[in-house]
Amino acid sequence: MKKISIILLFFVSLFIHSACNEDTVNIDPIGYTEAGFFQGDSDFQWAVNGIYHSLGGYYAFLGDPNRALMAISMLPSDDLTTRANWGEENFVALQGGIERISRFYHQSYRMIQRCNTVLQYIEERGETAYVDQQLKNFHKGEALFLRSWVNFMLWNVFETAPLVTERIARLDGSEFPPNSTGTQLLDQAITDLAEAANLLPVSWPNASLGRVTKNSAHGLRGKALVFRGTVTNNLADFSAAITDFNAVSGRSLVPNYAHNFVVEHENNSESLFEYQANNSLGNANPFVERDDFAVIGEMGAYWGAFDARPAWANERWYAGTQSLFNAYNAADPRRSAVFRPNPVFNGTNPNIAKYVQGPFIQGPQGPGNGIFVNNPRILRLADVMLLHAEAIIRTGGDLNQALGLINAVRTRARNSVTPSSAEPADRVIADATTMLEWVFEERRLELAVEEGHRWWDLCRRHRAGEIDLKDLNFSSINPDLNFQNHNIRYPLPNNEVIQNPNLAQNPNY
Amino acid sequence: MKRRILYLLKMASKNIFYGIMIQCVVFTGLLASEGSAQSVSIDKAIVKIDKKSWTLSEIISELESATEYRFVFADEVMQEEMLISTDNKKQSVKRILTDVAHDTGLRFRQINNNIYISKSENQENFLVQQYEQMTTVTGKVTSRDDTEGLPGVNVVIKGTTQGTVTDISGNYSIDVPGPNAILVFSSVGYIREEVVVGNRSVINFTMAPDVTALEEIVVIGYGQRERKDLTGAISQIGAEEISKQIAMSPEFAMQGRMSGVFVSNPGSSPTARPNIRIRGEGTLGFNDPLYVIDGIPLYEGGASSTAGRTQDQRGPINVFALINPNDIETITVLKDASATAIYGVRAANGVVLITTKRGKSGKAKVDVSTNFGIQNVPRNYDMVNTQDYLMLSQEALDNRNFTPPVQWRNLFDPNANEFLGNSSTYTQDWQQAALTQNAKIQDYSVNISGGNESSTYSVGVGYSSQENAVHFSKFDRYSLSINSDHKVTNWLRVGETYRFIYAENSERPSAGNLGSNAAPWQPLYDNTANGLLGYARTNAVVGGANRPAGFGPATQNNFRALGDLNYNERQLIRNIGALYAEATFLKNFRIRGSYSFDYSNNRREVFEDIRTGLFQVAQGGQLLTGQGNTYGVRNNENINLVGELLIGYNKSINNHNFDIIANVMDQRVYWNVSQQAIIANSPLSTWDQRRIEEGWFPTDKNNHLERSITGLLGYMGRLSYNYDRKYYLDATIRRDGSSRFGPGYKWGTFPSFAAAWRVSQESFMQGIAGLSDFKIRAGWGVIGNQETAEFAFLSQINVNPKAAFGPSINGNSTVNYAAGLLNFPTANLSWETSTTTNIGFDSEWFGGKLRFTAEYYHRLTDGILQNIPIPQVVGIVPSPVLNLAEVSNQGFEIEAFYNTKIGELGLNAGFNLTTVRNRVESIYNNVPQGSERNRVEVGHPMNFFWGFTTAGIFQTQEEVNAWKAENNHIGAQATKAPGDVIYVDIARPATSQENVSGANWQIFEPNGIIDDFDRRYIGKQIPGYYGGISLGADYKRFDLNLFFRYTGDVQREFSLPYLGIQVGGTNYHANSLNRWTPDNPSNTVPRAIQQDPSRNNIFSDRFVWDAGFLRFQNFQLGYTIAPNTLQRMGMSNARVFIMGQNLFVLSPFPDLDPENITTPRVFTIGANISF
Repeated sequence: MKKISIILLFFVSLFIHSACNEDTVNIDPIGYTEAGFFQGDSDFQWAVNGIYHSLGGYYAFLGDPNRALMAISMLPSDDLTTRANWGEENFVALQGGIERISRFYHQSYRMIQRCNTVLQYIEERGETAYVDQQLKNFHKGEALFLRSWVNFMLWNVFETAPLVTERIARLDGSEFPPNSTGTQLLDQAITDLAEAANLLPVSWPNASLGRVTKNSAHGLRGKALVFRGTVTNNLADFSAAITDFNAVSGRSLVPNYAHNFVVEHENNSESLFEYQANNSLGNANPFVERDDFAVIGEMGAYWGAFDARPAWANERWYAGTQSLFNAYNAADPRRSAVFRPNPVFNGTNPNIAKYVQGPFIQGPQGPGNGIFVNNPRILRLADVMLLHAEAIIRTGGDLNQALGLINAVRTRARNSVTPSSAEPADRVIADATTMLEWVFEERRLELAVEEGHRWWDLCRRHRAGEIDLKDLNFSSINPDLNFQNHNIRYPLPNNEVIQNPNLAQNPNY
Repeated sequence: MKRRILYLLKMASKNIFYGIMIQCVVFTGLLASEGSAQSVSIDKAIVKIDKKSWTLSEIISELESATEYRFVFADEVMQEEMLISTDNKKQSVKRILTDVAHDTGLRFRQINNNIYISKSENQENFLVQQYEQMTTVTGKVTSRDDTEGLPGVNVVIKGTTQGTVTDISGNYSIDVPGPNAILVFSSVGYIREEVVVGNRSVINFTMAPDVTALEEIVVIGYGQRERKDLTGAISQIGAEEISKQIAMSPEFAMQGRMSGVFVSNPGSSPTARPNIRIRGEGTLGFNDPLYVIDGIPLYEGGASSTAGRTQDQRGPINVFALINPNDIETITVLKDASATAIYGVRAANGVVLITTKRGKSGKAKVDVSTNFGIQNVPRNYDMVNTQDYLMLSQEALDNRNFTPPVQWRNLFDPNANEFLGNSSTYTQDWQQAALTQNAKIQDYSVNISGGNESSTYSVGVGYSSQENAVHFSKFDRYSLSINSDHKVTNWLRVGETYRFIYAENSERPSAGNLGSNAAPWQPLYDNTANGLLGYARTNAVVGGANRPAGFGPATQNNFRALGDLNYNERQLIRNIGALYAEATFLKNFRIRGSYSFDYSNNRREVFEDIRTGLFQVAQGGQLLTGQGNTYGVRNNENINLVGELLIGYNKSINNHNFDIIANVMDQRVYWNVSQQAIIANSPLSTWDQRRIEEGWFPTDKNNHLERSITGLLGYMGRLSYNYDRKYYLDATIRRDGSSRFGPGYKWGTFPSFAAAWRVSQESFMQGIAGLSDFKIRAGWGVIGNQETAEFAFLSQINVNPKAAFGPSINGNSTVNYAAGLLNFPTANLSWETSTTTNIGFDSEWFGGKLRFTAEYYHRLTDGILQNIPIPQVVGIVPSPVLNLAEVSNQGFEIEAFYNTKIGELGLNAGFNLTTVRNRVESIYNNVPQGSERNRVEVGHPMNFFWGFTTAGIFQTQEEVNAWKAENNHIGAQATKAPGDVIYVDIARPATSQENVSGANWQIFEPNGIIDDFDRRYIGKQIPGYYGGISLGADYKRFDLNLFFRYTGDVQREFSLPYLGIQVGGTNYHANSLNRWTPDNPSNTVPRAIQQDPSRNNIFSDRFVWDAGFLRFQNFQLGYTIAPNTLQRMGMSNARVFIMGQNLFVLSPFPDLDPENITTPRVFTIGANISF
């Protein structure tokens, strides 16, 4: 009987175990959930860091040179060219089905969503959740700045991409945002940056080097104003821009032009905003889409397109154009900073040297794929100074002041080698129209193959009617290139147009 | 009262215990001993009685105590106390009974020592009947499967109810009335046969298994049933059929042998997972069925995820390779909702029940099975040689006026030192190295089983090993299984089952496309100082510079060198077990509790030698720097705990039979993935020295742990009713709670009903010639599918992202935690539900010689958890999951089986056919999703091929001009020329007015523009029909089985020979020599042109082919050794066989194989021996 009672005990224990134990189905996830987050300074700090993190998507490799987003802003101009048969290069193949365009769009709105979420929670809980109310202001300023930067790019790339200022948390199709119109995206950026400039600190402690500052906000706001002013021909924008540019303080050009593109001089005195590329040793995985769960994803910057990496990339790498190469005076030290000594591409086109130096990222096949820890300098003082000069010229301001700004940039270039080069020599005063062309010429030389400056400058001038891109010598090695006016705006992603009932494709795509 | 035992037994065997085993084992001893006693005729048995007046019961007691006779009667006989008078003297029993018969109207019959009492219906006919002149026949009944005695066989004299049952050793003894008597041998699972006694006194008889038997026991969820009593759509195969296929994993035994069950062919890898699709594909997500082994529902972490990372963590090993197919008694597939509903939320894709072998009482039986085979991949691709490669490459470059990049320009330049055009062709080296010639597959297992009436056991051990016929992987499996069942008391049974498996898998890189990808001039081997370990490096010095792709753009990694230098090893351990106790202390009730567990650990070790960089294009042919010989180990651990409590009740009232069960189940699943690695500055010298030391710098190491817990709670009830085994009704309801859904949405209720009518039992059907059984059945039910992203109802925060700030040291600043908010909560997420309707009939003809089953099914999956393609402007990372889409599957299933015996020649043939019509009924906003090869659109099958329509190739410039006048191919217009593919403009994008619902995104009217909107349905991946054909024959001791498998109404992609070639990724197929040139007006292969500017290679109907096939899947020729030879060798049964698999395949599909190019041809020899 003893045996039987043991067995009965077994039954009873089974019953107790299995019957009606709701704990089985009420399991909390392992890890963080939104409901329990945003409770204190550090939660918000992490969330803001998450916005910075998502910057990396613009510079990621993701295991395929086809996926690198730099093609979007850099390839279309007369600065870079590729033999890859891409719409960004030849325009004839430019259509909304291009995966890079779709990912650029997604990447941008992902970053905006993070900004909007932080702003939403600061609004809802900021007063109580923060111990350090000043930190709250900084965070708000950072979120506004980063959102503005994305809006600025969206305007330049698509012009009509939707304006999203609040987190979209419903899937009701009727609530999806429509196309923006005119300069709405720039307008929002300009408004937000004004607020950000008020909120952000002048500088950060050393450990936070790389976060955006008051200077960043003023610099970008001025830039957005100049862009808007160009297309709307509204002089007030240029005046406002000058105010912002004047508010940039404590920044100076680094003595050596090349220092802007090497790891030894990241976050230098000229820097206003840069992506902090990093190898995060042992964690980064350049093959994984960022943010997939439990993966760091990529933290480096893919410059392999300048470096013919990875080895299997075939034609999908970018060389400088003859046009750009020839635009430099042979003695301009900037030419050797931009180009490699031996032109190798296709026997004629020069390879790019800018950014392609310094340490690679470690981790799975990082070096082989051309992934660097070198920071892309998104906004630097030379850019701002030249925009400042442009604003002065366009508002009929003091041409000598504008000339000073241009020559400061040229002087630094000259002095970047020892002994100093004679070129580029100082400009001498000329009429406003000439000087405006000088500004753009200087921007091309100074900011070559950075951040799409050239293409966006060309586009805004085309929009303003100052130039006609149809007449531009794109200096492409792609035989099929054929620019048409509607190519000034990229097509919105085809899938997006299908999925968002309120969104219309850009004309002629 | 003991005398009622026969009645009780009958009832018991009918209603409580369905199993042949129990009938055989538990009661056989009793019956057999009763039947074999010597008897005395009632007129010769003399008794003295000393009373004149008796009640019936008194006189029966008196006679039983005075003689050996036992009276057998039904209750109602004794209901009224009847008085009997008889003489009080010495007289024969017959005399006394005759008196009793007169007084009571009862009728007596003596059979051996049993005297049966029944009520006489005819006054005239009352008498005492007695069999005279009985002769005793004895003998042994054996099964054709082995020479073991077969217990529990009914041996009955034809035309009477007299009979006996064989004992544990298969022996019987029966008294028969004379030489004309006919003995009928019958047993569940064997063909009933008749034998004329004649003048023999010993009749040994061999029973043939009854393949068609209506009495075949079919496993259903939480029980089993005879086939004739089934109401749901269920297919089952047994150990014999499983043994006809040699494979590591049991799923392959189902391939082609069950209607409604599609098993894909994943090729030659021993660990590759086949796709199992039961009645089509029901959901956009997880389509695998639920597996239940001996009542344990299996769960594998990550199986349902589509995330690449999760799949990587899960690893490529099929966990079912951790079940030894030799251990399996039956595989049963529950196909419709009425059958699967008792498994609730896990059953929407069907249920596969695996029952393993258990012991039978009797002396210990040892089964040894062994087989050994070799596998070879029969074909490879015909590629161009070095000279043609150069010629075609040059033509492609010339046609685009394209100078090769400097990286490899000299390789193509006849004037350069590095020119490779005069090299020999190494393709053969690569193709040979890509395969493992005569890859071995072997299996050895021993099983010992036996027991007595109170306990039975089965213990098995096995070793199996398979090499991949494609270079390279090898899988070794060691398995152990133990199970036993014990009758503790009359009312309590306990038992357990446990299996332990240890397996090892080695995997090395394989060469793409069976080694055909490499440039023909790229050597694999190099024994000079340039090579290493005898292998050629992948880089070269071209034009004075080191070029990583040393043999041009088609340079491939040297996979053999990588395989020699690197290690990718797995050790897998699995423990599956269950214990149960079943009590029957209350009449008609049973209570069963069980607890089961499944623990598996999949451990992966990876070792990378820095020298691998020399053989990898991506590493530039350089040693890996900075990392050393890295090593990492990952443990992927699954723990699955299930507790269940079941209460069963059954009752028969007249012909109304009820069987009710209620069940509570609690399942918890833990999935843990942990990883440790040394990833930088590794001081490891060799694989043998692998370790990770505590003192190594933390920054050089990497480790993490991820955990996931899910739980499921289920309440289930089933009512089974039948009237006279003629009308059947089953009703099931299950209520499940899942941890995967949010509050308020956790619980789901899933009902099902099924009914069956055995029409053949009706009197009006009796006259139909040849019809043995005919049953119509219909079922309806709703089941759920819970496989979705876990915790999608919450917005989870990922803190793996990082942001770097601070002063930079060598480019790196300090890394800070960052939080990524990826999603927003979808609180109302709930179950997918699958509603199934099933109508069919089962029939048997000519006494079971022909069996024919046909049914129609319709399955509508609703509320499919769809990863919806929301606009990206929302900005979340994984798209949210919502219950939105609807997919339907419908079709017919037909199974036919015929067997006959002509003299000593036995013949059988089987056929099955399944049709599937898969259709997406609705999806989110009707917006199509997916790309070229996995398109999902309303009105089409899931994952169809979506591509451009072509109309041949431009032959002349006039054709080009005419086409260009009408069409504009965006981005490819400028370069259109003769030799390019002609695309057809079929549609345009809808305007926003036209596209109100999202469904009309594409309007089928030409707009002169060739763009994405001109893609359409060009083929489907879900086969429209499939099935198998088996043919068998046996003659004397030989047996032969042939098995064919077919699939049709399905398309696959194959482009290699039809690509417009360009100097790019791989070598060219020999068919490229037939490309279009001005002199060779090909209409199938476009011109060679670098960069494909005219987009000849975009996905179009040129690359989609019918991929139906008829495959000679296997044959098996066996020989059973003669019993007297065996006895001399001390064996009871021995069969040897040879077997071949995949001997040929007929298909219009132009690739090497319509299913998988690595499908090996296998020849096996084997033996099954029993002691």
